[in-house]
Amino acid sequence: LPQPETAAVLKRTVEALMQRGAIVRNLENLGERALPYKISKHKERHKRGGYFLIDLEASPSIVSPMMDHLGRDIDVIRRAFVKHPVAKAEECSGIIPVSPEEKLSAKK
Amino acid sequence: QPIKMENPYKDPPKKCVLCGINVDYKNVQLLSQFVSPYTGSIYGRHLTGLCNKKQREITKAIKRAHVFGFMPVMFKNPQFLTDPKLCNIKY
Repeated sequence: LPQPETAAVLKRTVEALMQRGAIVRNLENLGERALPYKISKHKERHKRGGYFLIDLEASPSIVSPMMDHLGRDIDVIRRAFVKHPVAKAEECSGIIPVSPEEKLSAKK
Repeated sequence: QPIKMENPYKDPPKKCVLCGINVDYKNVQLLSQFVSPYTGSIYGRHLTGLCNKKQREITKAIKRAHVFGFMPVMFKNPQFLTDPKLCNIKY
């Protein structure tokens, strides 16, 4: 996809999001690269794509109308919503050795 | 009289490879290190040697990366074939 068209697609999606009352925090471009596998969408087989990540704050009722909206857009190959990963405290305590008797009794 | 105290010579608990590292579905290089280069199947805990939490996080992240189109499903990305070995598997 040539550059002005990608800009138009992004603008469309962001405007649709803002219309439904979503607060856009950040928009990141993860680069354009060859897709890991060929994706057929909207009667076309795609091999290259641009990856974009939009940081959102919105109510959950927006999710399904947005998925519909992005599904109808021809230029969007794949759409997804993911929860923001909250950076948890690094409390990894390491491998706690389990005695073999506990293992035997705990498992079914 | 001997005082009761915890064993001061105990070693700190053994840490797995990813103990301090945040796992994300976006860094495909890290995720590809736990995938077979021939079939693209995810290695089990007996091969990776990770703790419970991290193994689950990695599996979820790999499956997400498959769906979102970040990581190939049936094989390992040839770009990442020469990464250092983290899993104890013999080819």
